[in-house]
Amino acid sequence: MNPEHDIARKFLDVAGSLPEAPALGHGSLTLAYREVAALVEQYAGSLGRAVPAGHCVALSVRKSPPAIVLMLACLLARIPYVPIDPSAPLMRRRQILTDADPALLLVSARTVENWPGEQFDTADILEPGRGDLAARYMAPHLAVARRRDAVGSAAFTEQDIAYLLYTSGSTGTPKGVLISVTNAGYFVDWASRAFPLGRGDQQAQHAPLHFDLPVYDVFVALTSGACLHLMDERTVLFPAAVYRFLRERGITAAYAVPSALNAMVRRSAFRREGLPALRRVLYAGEEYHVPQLRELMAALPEATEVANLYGPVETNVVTWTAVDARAMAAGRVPIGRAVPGTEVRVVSEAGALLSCPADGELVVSGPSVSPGYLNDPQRTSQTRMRAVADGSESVYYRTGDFARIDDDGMVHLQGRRDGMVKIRGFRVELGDVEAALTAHPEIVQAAVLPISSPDAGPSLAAHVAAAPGAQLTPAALREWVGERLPSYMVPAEVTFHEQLPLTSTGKIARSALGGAR
Amino acid sequence: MSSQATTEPLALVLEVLHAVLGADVPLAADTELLEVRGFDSMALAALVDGLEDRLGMRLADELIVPDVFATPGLIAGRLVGPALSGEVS
Repeated sequence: MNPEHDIARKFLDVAGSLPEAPALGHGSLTLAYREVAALVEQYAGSLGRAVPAGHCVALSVRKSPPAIVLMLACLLARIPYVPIDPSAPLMRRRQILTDADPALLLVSARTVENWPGEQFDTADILEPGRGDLAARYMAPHLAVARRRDAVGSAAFTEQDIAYLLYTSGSTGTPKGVLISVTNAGYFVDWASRAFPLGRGDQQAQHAPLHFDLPVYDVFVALTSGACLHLMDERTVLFPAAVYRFLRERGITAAYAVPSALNAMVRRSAFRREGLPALRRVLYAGEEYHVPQLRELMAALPEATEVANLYGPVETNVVTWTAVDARAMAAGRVPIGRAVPGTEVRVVSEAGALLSCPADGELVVSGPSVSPGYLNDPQRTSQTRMRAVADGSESVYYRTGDFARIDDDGMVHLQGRRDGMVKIRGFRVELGDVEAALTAHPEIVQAAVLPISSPDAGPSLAAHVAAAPGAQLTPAALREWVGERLPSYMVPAEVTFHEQLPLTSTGKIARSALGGAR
Repeated sequence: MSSQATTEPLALVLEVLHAVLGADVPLAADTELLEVRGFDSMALAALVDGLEDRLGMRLADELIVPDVFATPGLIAGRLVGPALSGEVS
């Protein structure tokens, strides 16, 4: 492995040179680099002994120091980890367990009852008796289920996988994006240069750990000597609490989706009192509309750097731009220019690379591009294409995003090719929601459309036709979906129709149903 | 009881919460809202909007915090009750 891509080793090196520097802040607890490193090394050892080669570990741990320690321990032990949202419906969590087939499932001790059927009886892996740090900060807060029937996957070792991130799939089951050690290491190395942190920096960790934004927060901060401040799931919901967290902890750098930043601008003391310590704001995951962006920037210190980062889970960040008056001048902020070492192009409908300036589907090639989806070679191949550029053939990931690339390489996002939308930065395949709706025995047709309002932002509207005599209510149907999908995928509105309108070819006439208002 | 007629703080909070989360969701004064499935940032925003509509006022941002929105009873006691009695403006 390129040593520049070895995230865990870089963390240990920093811990060796800054042992007493604060590394992790959570609630009233602060752990020094020395303490986190000792835990990471200890748990890398115990996990390494417990997990056979070719297997992964599932982490459904609430945002906390143990969650961060386990992520780093897995990287150090070269065991792929799968973060699973502890608050996701049981059905969704089980789908991920079935697909990833982890040898171990580690959960927050308080959430054991949310995992019926799993046997949490392997406390030896947590080594509660070994050392004061483990006894205090790790073992009491975790539970482990050893999954003896797990068979693992050859992909984990063949592709040298660091972690898997599950996103919405179009057919009703989430898809596992494989992220290799090289993918992750390349991104962290680039991000550490583009947006450097150092001792004295206070990095906020806002996004949930099963999302891809924390890869920057956690790994760039902890390989740079900065202190990572974990914003728990409770705080994240409340804009005024988010503001207070950033203010009281003297946060110098934050990375979040625009919805969260905009909520803080609108519903906290931020515009009145500002955040004087904040020197960098990164955002990604969705468009930050210029009027709202101006409101944010008006209350930030003048010297604060603001940047827009773009990249699907399958590639992490592949373009970025500084956000300034020039970037906002055209009314929409572009997604920027390609990250060094990454090729970002547009292709025609036939898949031919186009010379810029051009409009087309955005494709990406480079070291941060995922090797594919776990257990889904068909989807992997559908989202990849080969093309010759400058005399050599490369594999490109097809993002499904349409864009225009100017002759100076600036990329402007234009829309989607398929039924994928973003809700609060999370990817949602409309087909995934429609599959959950039509799985209801009384629903015969379903179409889901994105809708938007200035205050609530993007959400989903479901149009359904029920079987004759059905007694289903919108609330009951939302409840049904909520048992299967994460809350951001539950339609905010449900409208019953006798029958959904159809096109001449027999497809649902989505244009007749409205949406995207 | 019509929604307009509800002036008892807890009843008002539960009514708005049911409108946001669904009528079938079991809720009581001491239900921990953050443990209720579907109570996310969008539900919180809808709850705040609903309360503001019913109270006819904008709630102070400083009151929309985890300590107040932990349970329906706390919302009623620390936010809606004082608002209905004119103690909060």
